[in-house]
Amino acid sequence: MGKYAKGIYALKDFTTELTEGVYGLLGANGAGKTTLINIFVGILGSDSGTVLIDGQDARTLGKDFLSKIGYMPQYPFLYRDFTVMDFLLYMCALKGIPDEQGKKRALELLDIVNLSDAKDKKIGALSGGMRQRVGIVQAMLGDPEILILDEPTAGLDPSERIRFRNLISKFAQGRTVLLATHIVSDVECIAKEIMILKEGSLITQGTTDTLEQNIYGKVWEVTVNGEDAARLGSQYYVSNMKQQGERFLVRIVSDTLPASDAVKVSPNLEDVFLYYFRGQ
Amino acid sequence: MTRLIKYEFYKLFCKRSILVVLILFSVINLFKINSEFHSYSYLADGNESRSWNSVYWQLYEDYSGEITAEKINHLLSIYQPLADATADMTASTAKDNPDMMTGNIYSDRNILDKYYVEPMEYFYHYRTYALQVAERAKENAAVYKERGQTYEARKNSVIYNLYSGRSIKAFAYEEMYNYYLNYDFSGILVLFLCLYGVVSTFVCEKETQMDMLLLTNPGGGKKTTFAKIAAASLFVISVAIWFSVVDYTGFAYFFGTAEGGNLPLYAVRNFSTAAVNCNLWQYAILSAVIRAVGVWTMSMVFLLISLFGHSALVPFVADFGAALCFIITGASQSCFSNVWLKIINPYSLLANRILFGKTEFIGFAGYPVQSFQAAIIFAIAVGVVSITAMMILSKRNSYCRERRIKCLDLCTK
Amino acid sequence: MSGFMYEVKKIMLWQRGLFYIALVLLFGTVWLALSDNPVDIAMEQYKNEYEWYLEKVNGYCTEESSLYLEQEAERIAKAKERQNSLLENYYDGKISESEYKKESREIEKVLEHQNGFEVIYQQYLYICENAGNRCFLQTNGWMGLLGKGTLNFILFLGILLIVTPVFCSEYSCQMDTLILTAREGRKSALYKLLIITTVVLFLSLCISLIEYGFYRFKYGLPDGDYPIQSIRYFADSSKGMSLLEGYVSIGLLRMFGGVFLTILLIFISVLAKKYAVTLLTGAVSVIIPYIGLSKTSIYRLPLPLPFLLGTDFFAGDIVMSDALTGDEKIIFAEVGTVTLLTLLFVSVLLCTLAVVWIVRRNSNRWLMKSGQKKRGAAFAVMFGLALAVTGCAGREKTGSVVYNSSAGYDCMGYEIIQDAGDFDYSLKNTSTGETYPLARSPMFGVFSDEEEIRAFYVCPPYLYYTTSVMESYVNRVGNYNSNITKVSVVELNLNTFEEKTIFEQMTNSGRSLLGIDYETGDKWKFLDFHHAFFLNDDNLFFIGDDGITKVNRYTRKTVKLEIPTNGNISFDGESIFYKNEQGVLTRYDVSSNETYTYENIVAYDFCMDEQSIYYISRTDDGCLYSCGKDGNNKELISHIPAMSVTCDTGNIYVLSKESGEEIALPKSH
Repeated sequence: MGKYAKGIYALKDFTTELTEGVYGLLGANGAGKTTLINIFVGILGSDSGTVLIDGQDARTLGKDFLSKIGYMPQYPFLYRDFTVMDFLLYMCALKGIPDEQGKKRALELLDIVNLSDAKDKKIGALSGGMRQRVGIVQAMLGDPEILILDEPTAGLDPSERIRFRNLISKFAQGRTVLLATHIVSDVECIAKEIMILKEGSLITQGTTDTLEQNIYGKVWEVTVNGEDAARLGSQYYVSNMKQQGERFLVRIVSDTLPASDAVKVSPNLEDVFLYYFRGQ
Repeated sequence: MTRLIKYEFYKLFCKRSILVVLILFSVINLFKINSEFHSYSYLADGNESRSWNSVYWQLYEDYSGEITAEKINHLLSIYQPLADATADMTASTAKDNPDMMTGNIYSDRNILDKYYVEPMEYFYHYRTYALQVAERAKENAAVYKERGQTYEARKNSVIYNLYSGRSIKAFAYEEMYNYYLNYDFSGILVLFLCLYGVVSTFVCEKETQMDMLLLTNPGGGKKTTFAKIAAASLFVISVAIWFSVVDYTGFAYFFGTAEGGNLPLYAVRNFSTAAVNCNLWQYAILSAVIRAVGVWTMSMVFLLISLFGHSALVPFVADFGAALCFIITGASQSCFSNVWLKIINPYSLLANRILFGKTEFIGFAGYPVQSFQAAIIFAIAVGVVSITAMMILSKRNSYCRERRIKCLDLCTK
Repeated sequence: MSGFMYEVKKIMLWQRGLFYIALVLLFGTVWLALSDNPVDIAMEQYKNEYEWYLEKVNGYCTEESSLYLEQEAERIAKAKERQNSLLENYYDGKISESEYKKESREIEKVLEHQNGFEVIYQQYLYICENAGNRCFLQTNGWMGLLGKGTLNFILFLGILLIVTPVFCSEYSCQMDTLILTAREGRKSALYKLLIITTVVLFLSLCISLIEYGFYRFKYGLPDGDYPIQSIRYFADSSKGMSLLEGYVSIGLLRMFGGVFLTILLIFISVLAKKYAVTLLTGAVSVIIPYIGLSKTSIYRLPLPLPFLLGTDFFAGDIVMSDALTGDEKIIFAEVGTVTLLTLLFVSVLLCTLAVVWIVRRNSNRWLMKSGQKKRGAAFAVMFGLALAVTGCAGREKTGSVVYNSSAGYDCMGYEIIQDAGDFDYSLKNTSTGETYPLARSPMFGVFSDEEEIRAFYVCPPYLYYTTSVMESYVNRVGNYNSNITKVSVVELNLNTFEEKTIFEQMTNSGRSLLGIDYETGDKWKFLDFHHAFFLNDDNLFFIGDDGITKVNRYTRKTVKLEIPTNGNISFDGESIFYKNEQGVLTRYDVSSNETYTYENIVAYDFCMDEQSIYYISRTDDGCLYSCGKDGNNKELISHIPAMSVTCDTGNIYVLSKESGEEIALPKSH
């Protein structure tokens, strides 16, 4: 798929194949994640390319394609005046799910996300985390084969984020989940594969291990004093810095040896992210 | 504060949509002015040698400037035979009479009557009329003084001073100014544009939840509210002045001249009892300023209403309804003599001939105040009250109570 | 609940659609009831008499009805003449009372419906101009229903309030993306369009039906099958349609106008996604052409405005003559059927394109066929649209004084004098001889010959006078005129010489309000022809040649009183005294509207003061008598046969029948 707008490629020759499991779509802000998702779910039209489901073009599938996907947008405001249940039933109507079936499904899902007690509350009265959970419930209503989540944990506190991550893992069973984020920890543990998007292009895709393996030998750790730590910080890409008494343990992503006493360490996904988005 | 106002102005009004509307309205306004010229001026008949336009400007060289007995006699020597010949409507209706300036005897009589004889007669006699008013006012002042009617005596003294020196010494083309001074359409465009501009001033902060963020900053809360009000004021005043400039230049362009600017305001018949003694070009400037005050007042009221809205919908419709009420009541009351109704309606300042066309007074503590002065004072008072209400009613950080007093001080200054 | 019902619930409840509909209907009805005035006041006032004649001539003007009306006119004229001579004969003793009564009864029978005849005769004259397509019928209801070419602002604001949030609210809470990705998302947009169109159609229909019901209830809407030209508003129309067809057509066009405005608003809201832009565009697309363009241009624009107005699609040409050159100028050019159909076609096409674009914009991209031009419809609609858019003042309680229209004015030591040269009125102090201009404004009458004093009424310490003035702002016939004629009642305190205007009214309709015709109709025409007036706390009474018109000072309601004005009219603050058609002194109580006839007083003339009525008896050779206000205590004052009588504080003045001289008789006789 490709999308050209306002003189730049928002998405350039993006091609991938997704199977069952969670796919993390990593990228810096403005990398093209939301454009890719918007094209995928049909909010935006693409200039080239298409989405094929089991070999069938999404255009040919039409409404059946939409039945196959569940989408949760970034910061869903939803209808403030609707109660949670009303809203979910409304979404059922939009998704073409019969009322009774929809009600049953909504109650099940609310139970899973621990929102049964809030079903009669107005959406305007919910906290940010609760609203996100309503967001994922509505995406799951049609029991979709493909779940697309655009930065679902944005603005959530750590405990809510962990809870949400677990929910995604739970919902991922038996379906394809595309999770766009720039928060590495969101996908590190649950993603089957990670796709890294930079300036509209897919620059790499693979499992966490593969990606980490790709940059093996480019991540270093060194213990230095405060002055040297500051110098290293300005010269190299520091992925982590930890104070140990008077000295600092500095973790550096660099193609070359940053200091004579630096030692090679195993990369993690954050190092991978930093490696590919150096300078951004 | 200046920086804040600058940013607020940039944020709220330097938008593409506002620029588009401004350009669109300016173009519509020019079309309307052009249609006024073609609908109402007899001189809009082209530039052929026998057109009224050509004939008028040929004759203009002979009669413009100081009104003298020679010019009057010369004019009457041409006009009177034509008037006599056409009095019984039996003259030739031929349209190609070579002896006639326009080719037709009736047409010649009409152009002279409409554009030279009638206005020159009015100009010439104006001094006598004004003197008559001044004399009557002087007599009235004495009568009222005798009867202990201080207010009436003072009022008549003001009238005496206003009219005693009035005269129109020179003849010039005043048709363009007549239509310019009676043109209200652009006032409505200004109101719409200002309504659109100011309605989202507070609403957009609520829609983007920026209002909460602003409150947590030292420069937020009241300071931002004041900056928004100042930016909105700057915007509406700029728009009002822009349209006044477009009006004047548009009229001058389409009528093909700005001639007559040095004539006194009362040279235009509808302003025969004008409330001020100034030239037409001076009045054009005064009118622009007064219109800006009117637009500013209405915009402050719009802004106050919009403070209570969560989206632009209800404030816009409420403001729009209020504007329609102001316009309809203002226009329908414009020719009545209830001065108070004119004073309290800011529309009178937009179409300010309502206030300046007639010498009207209201009494304040025994002193006569001219209607336009009272209207300006009232409009400014309404604007200040609206601003104060906005400052009081806008959200504030609970730690900044003492700043509220400072803000109030600031806005009363 | 189905998706459709959810959309209904969202629009009607959460977006307060029902509340706004109720508000529009409520305000619309209240405004209609408050602002309505009968176009032909006489037709309403003499409804029964008018209907008596209408029954006989209802329908097309046939030779028989024409003959009947002409004969009736002659019969009434003769009856009036006969009535006068009969009265003279009776009072001169030439005929007996029984003969007089017998003949009077016959004459009264003829004149029984004369007020109604005047109304129908006026209608007859109108019909005669083009008898082929004009009929006799009750026109007030139809004129009220159809003869209004103004925009319904309440409906317009209602449509703005109801339609704008339909899509804008989705954008403001970012639900549009969720709806777009749902299987039935496109249906949601369709439902919205369907619901909102139905709501607007319902609102427009309700307003039309309310208007129909109101006018049917208030005036009646008979003979709907008569040609539309039967009412003056459509006098020169070339359309061959009946009144009912006209109502239905205008109603349908207005409904389409509402739908057109709805689609325009939705189109803008989907394009701009913002409340303010949508509202501004909606407001501007209606108001700017309304006040900025001529009626002829408005009715040729593919915009919602001409359809929202509707009426003038069926009106004929309006031609006016240029005051200076005498050239005829078309003020409004009739909209031909072809033009109307073309305009409708273009508008429907624009609406269709807009709807297609709106639905496409609200469709998931995967549901669209590839290669379609996404913005084509939007551009087409935008291009189409771009082409298309090229006083009574507060007062103290009035005192009570006896007014006689034929007598002079006792102005607290002042005399009203008129300058022989410039006809200006002055007040002359009778003791010092000093004179003061009556109109206290130094500017009065100086700059306009047409600013003049018309009549006086004195009620110490106030002298009231009426003025009339003609002002002209745009003095050439064009898209609009701004000529007004204004009549004012001014109160002058004779002690302090303070004056204030207590009543003002424009009397003509040659005026426009920002380009919108401002019709005053014929309601205030009587002010142009009044020659005397008097007043009390609640009412003003204007005396004209054809009667007295009572105007409520607060509500401005006018009532024409059936009082002949060919003799003296007296008013004591509570009752009007006058001679009726038979010369019998009559009293009309202005608060109870009751009439009392002094059967024993038949007068040539009369006048009155606070205590007595002085009258010249017609039954007693013109002798002067006095009596109390109740008609009792009759007393002979003078044997001298007289023609007329007036009085002031100290004297009674009679005009001798024989010598023609005025004789002063002291009241203390």
